[in-house]
Amino acid sequence: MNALTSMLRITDKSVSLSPEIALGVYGLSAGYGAETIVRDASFEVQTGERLAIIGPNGAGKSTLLKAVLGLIKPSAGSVRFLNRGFGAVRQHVAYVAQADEIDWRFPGKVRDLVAMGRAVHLGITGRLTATDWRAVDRALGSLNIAHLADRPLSDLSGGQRRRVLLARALVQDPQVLIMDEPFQAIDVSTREALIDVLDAFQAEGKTAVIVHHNLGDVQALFDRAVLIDGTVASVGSPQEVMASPAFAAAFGAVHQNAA
Amino acid sequence: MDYNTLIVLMGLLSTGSLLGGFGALVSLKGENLTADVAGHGVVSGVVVSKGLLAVLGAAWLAVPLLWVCGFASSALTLGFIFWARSRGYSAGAAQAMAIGLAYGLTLVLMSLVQGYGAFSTKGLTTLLLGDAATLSLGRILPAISMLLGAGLVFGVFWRGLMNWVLDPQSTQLQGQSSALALMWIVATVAVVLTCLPALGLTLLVGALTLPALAVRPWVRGFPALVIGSAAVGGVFATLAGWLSAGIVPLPTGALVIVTLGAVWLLSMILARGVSAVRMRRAA
Repeated sequence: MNALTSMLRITDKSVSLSPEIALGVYGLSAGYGAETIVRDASFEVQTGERLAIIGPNGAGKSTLLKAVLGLIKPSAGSVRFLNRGFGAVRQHVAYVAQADEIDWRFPGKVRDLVAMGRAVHLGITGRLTATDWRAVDRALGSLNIAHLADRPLSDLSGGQRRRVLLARALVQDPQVLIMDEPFQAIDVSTREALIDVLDAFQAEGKTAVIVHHNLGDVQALFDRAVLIDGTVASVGSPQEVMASPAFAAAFGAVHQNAA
Repeated sequence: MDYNTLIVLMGLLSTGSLLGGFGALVSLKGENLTADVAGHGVVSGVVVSKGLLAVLGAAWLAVPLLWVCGFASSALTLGFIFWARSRGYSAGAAQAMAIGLAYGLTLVLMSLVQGYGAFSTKGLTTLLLGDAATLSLGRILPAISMLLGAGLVFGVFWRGLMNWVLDPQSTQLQGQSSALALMWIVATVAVVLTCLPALGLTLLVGALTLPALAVRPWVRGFPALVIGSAAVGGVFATLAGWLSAGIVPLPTGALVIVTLGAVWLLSMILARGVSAVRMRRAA
């Protein structure tokens, strides 16, 4: 029944888009094969909040995101988006993967990739209407890449790829945006463009959960932070998390002093 | 042109187009060897169907048994790959195991079935190398029907298909992945079963792979790649069949692959030449 519902695009119209908790993760454990990477993770994200997921390399940040979204099957625990299971609200949740998870040699244009974001709102044929194409153009414009619309995917630079992936997420018109290291290896202008878009997104009362690597700007960019080190080691404001013993244990005292 | 030659050329046109178009999707997904695995899986099912036919003695069951057994054995072989991947084996190791086991099982089954006089080594040779020269109207109808059906499905669903091939993870988030994965397995097995009579198992993967590789440097869009590959596969398979029928006395299936290989080589050399000229002009 669930598969049929999703194929026919029957969505739950009763979902409230402004509950207090945009994302709730409760006792989540996940990994690959027999190996558990993240154990018993629990935290909540308030609606309208911008939350950073930080942690050392290999701590399980990306694994946590994939388990939250159901891309890998959790071995324990549950996840609630907007007070519902993911299947009931999937059209309101967008995910921006790391740029290397896409085959950029694919024979397609930027416009085609960004239009993928509308697919969750379309019928079974996936045919886009004029309204959908206008939304694609708006998303491209908001990230200052309208001029790239007809460019082949293979011709994009690293920074342009990040903008295109964020445009694809925005064109979905989500309430919750999940991003995996969007600020990694980008130039200053791309960084500014991403921050502007995230500011505008948050100004609309929407929620962003972002895996973030650069500890130097967590306090400037985020309302709260979750420290992952195999489990949720600390939750709170960026200042609280970075002053916690768990942060020192995960990154060492040098990072803590620098932060 | 006599009737038999016309039938063979129509068979090669539909088979080449089907393999070329489907091969574009397979290549983009990086699953060329999965189609080979499906082919190896089909062969053991074909042998089983011959054995069952010898036991049951009902000639009218030949075609249904062939399809049912071929589908079942191929699906089981593909299922083995998914199982092996879920146990942590790499894609290459899982495919190699599946091909080896399917082929070994085929030989064992064939030895058993030969005891009933139902299957000869010539039968195996036909499965491996195909027999395009003896195609009949009844044997090419599945390929023609499937080509028309595939064209219709692609015309309606090409954007959803493109999304799935380009970014399966995103499609999974949108809740479509399971249905598409199931359809993909069915389509793979159906294409392999349909095209085996003309080209055989060993030549099939070449006909799947070469058209898309030849067309890739010249197109920038997904529909253009799929349609272009189908056109190249169909046209050059037909050309090879026509050459084989009168001018070049060589096995048709082998000549199809050699012709497609030559087209790919020429395309690659031309593409590099054009790219070098463009770079020189830009400088």
